[in-house]
Amino acid sequence: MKDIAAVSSQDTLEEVRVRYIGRKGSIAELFKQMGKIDPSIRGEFGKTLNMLKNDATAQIEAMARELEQAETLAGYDPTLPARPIAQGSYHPITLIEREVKRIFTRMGFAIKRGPEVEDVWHNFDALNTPDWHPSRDETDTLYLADIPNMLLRTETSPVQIRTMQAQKPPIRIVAPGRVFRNDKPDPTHSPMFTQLEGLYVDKGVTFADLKGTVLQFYRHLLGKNVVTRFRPHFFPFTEPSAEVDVSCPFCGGDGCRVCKHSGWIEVGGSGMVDPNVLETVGIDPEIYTGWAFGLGIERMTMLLYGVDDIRLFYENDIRFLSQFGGRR
Amino acid sequence: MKISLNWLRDFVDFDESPEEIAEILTFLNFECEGIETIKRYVDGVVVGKVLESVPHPNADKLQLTRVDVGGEVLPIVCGAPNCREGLIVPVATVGTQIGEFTIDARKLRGEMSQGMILSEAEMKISENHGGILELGAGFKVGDDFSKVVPAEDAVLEFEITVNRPDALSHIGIARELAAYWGRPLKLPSFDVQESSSRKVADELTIDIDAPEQCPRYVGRKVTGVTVMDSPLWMKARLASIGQRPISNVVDITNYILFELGQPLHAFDADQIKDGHIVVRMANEGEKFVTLDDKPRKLVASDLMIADPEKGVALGGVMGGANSEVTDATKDVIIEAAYFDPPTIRKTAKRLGLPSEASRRFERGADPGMQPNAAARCAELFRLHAGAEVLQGQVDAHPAPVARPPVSYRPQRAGVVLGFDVPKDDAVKVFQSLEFGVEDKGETVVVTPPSWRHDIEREIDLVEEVARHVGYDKVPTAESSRVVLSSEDPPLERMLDTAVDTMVALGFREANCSAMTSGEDHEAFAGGLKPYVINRPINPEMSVYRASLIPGLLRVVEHNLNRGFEDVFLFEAGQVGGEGWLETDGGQRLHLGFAMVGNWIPQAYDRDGEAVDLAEVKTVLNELARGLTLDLPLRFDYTTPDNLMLGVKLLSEDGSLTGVAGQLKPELAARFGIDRPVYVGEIDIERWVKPVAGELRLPGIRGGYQRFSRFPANVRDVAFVVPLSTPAEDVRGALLEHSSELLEDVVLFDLYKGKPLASDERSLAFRATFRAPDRTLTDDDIDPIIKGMIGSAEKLNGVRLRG
Repeated sequence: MKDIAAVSSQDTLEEVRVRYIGRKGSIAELFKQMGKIDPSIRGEFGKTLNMLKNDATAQIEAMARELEQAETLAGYDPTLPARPIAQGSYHPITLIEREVKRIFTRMGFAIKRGPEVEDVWHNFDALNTPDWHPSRDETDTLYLADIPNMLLRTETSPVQIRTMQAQKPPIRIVAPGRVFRNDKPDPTHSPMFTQLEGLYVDKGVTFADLKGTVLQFYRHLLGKNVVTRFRPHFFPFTEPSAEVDVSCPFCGGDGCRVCKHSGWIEVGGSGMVDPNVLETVGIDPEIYTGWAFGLGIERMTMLLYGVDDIRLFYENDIRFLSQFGGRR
Repeated sequence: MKISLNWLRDFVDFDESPEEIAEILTFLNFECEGIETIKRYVDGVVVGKVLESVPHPNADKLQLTRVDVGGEVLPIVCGAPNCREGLIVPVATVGTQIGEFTIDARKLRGEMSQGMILSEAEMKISENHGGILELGAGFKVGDDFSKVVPAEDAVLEFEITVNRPDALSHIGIARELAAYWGRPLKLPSFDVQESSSRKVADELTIDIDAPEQCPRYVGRKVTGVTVMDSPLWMKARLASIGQRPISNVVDITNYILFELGQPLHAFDADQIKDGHIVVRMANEGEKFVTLDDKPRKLVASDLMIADPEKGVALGGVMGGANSEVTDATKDVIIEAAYFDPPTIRKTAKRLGLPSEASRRFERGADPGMQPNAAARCAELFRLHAGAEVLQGQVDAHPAPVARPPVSYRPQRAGVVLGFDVPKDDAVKVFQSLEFGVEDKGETVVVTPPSWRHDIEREIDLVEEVARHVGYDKVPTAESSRVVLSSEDPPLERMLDTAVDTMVALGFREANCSAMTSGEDHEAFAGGLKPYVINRPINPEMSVYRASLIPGLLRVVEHNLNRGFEDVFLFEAGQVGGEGWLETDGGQRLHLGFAMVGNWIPQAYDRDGEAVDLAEVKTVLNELARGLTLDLPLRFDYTTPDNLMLGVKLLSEDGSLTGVAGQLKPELAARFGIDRPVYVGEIDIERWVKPVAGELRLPGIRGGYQRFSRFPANVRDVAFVVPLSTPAEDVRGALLEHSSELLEDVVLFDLYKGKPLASDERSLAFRATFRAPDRTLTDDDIDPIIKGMIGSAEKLNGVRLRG
């Protein structure tokens, strides 16, 4: 048995095997002696000899396994790096759009989508935009050349109109999607970007609801300590209208580079749906009220990830995209 | 809109800091975009008199002066060319700060100087660097100069929303603040000393032929005008808000514009034939030279201010060169008019002539302001241009602008805002904003003042209440109902799943421009009438995309050029085209992908494996699996356009829903891609066919299938198959001879080479057999296999490989 423990290679183990349990090995030799053994103890002798043989065989086999493993391990370097596989990643706009969608879905909003190529009626007229409003100008809006009164939508608000045309209140939706403006690309402007707008129309919907929902949304998105503030503004499709500021989630409102030391970040527009808009889609503003709000997904994405040039989103450089590979 | 706080103080009293004013107005709808502090000087500028001015002994351009500053005579070295004995001047004494510079007593070229005589530019009153400021008579030596021009001003810039043109003036902003604070608004004096004995009515006639476009036109006249510099205080205020002082005639009309919001025009009265002003529409094609000396060709919708012979001004937009006030002008006709906003907007836009005046007219001036503005203008001409004011005015007012009363129900604020505003509080807001209020119990009837054209409906009044009570007083709701009936679009979750699947497959999601070039459209959606963009941003963005592939190829090229070799990208997004208007409302939802290089990347002990068509099909399969579509997929194997080799993906009803394969090299080269690139594009809506409200479980379609727990029997069978016979046909033939017991047939080996002929290959299939209730024996399987082989061998040239 000491011989087994002493072997260090397959070759010497083979020698040991031959020497003890081989056909001409010492155990075989002992079996040959069986005939000469006193018959009274012959049975006992045979039993013992078998046990010895089994034991030796088992030990040799165990040793063989051990040697084989050692050999495998000897060639193995655990510090070798992982082999690469194809890495997929979500576009950062998708990541934040989904995050926003998830929050609103949890708050009981349905998702709605609409066409990127829209008609003037849905994009402007139905939204109470005066004929003379500068946003209708070709300097602001991209129109189609061959079909009159068609354009690349300038906001996702036409989805609100389409939803209100198709469905009676109560309505509680968010509409994400691409929108287009006649802007030359620069670090903060893009002719195409992503918006998300919310709409809630029902009996008894108030400005207080708007404030509550918007606050909770931003707390879910930016952390439970942020606060919002509403500043009066003018938008054709809401009245009263408000711009929404959120306290800077990075400095807690003390002032930092991100919020330009103001403690506040402007995050979007909002307001009570103008009665003219409700009337246009056949909803009686005496019975129903509603609020709407919007935010820019790119802007929010830039804010949250510290992206400083909006063009990076559409350049799709792998050095940019690959940074957003984390799953959730 | 820039507001000077010094100027604002004329109309409302306040001690609040510029920052507080900015905050208050920001929360009243006027967002402050910047605060600028103008420091003209810091203390110690006094009125002085130059007693003596002699050349500096050591410098050609300097003068040695002695200046009386009241009780003290200072030696001052001055370099101004106009420095001379007897001048009354502003003097900065020792210790005074001018900009970054503090005056000290020092020797200049050997001569002591204890102060500095100042120019207008040095005090930021104008840009006049020409010499020291000559104050002239009327200033007392020794007086503190800050009584003339304050040492400091703060200028706040506000964003004025388009609905509030009334706030495009110092009075308008003061009115909001006065209402907010509950302090009195102090209007400027509109008294005018009509010093001339002549009467305007005798010398000026106004006929309005276009009452709709010009509802009101007020004229006044002054005589004996001297064109010269404006008073210092006026220059300083205009300079504060970024207006360059020009001359008293120009500055006075400008000053009133920024003070009252009423644009004015001054005509040289001698150039107006018979003193007769006719307001009419321009004749189509009428030629007119504006005061910038540019000839303009007018159209019939332009409003012309004319005399009986000729046009003299383009109403509300720009005056005419022929009637401009010049140094020689003696008599001036002052125009204060109210023009119809759309008329002015149209002309200003067409001619590209936006101005401070047209901006106010096109948004809506105050139709009640004309007489006051004309009176104030005449009085300022009297005070600062040496003019005499003629008696009276001509007020042509053919079409008074109505401001109909609006009913306000006090409970309506509660309905909209979510908290009750007591009637008295609302009334207080209305009154503070100078709205007429008549309490009728259930309702309050509110008559908006002439300047508030935005108050037309009850909701406009609710907004006024909300604004002045404060949005911060509106409570923040803590609960909200959930709408149970709304549902997401049926494709929404499927689309998210498709994106998840692609990411899991190792593709990176891209976000490409939805605007593309005409050539790209032709190449990838030729035959489809595109959505062409009118006046695109650039030619690369002239068409709304009908295919995702060109955008992806540009991204592929971008990344290959940056050293990446394995590029796997996808995008899901809308595409569209005019040609799809009838069938799809013009828009479709596509998923596109592009693959270059190794899907399994090269590693330190392994080669990468270049992607090929089979892996493109893997992507389609896995997408289908992710979306719980039926497998196997259905293909049409005719090569799609643009592809060197590829497949057409068919939907369950057999219609074309996508293409995938290797792009033709010459097309890849057009995008700067020099290696094999595989692309795919799927009309995902058509493929998935989502149905609103339909039960669609995630994971598998149609639910779980009971599976047999008995072992499978596997048989391998190889055939020699001519290259011209598709593998799928062989597999199809094997499956054709189907049996309940045959579970699957999979191609597991493909071999080309010796001993096979060059136009042959070996295809080995593995067939899996299983029974639901027992373990199968060779006796079960042998006859089936035999039948399958027979079925395959019926194909042309296919034979069992021995």
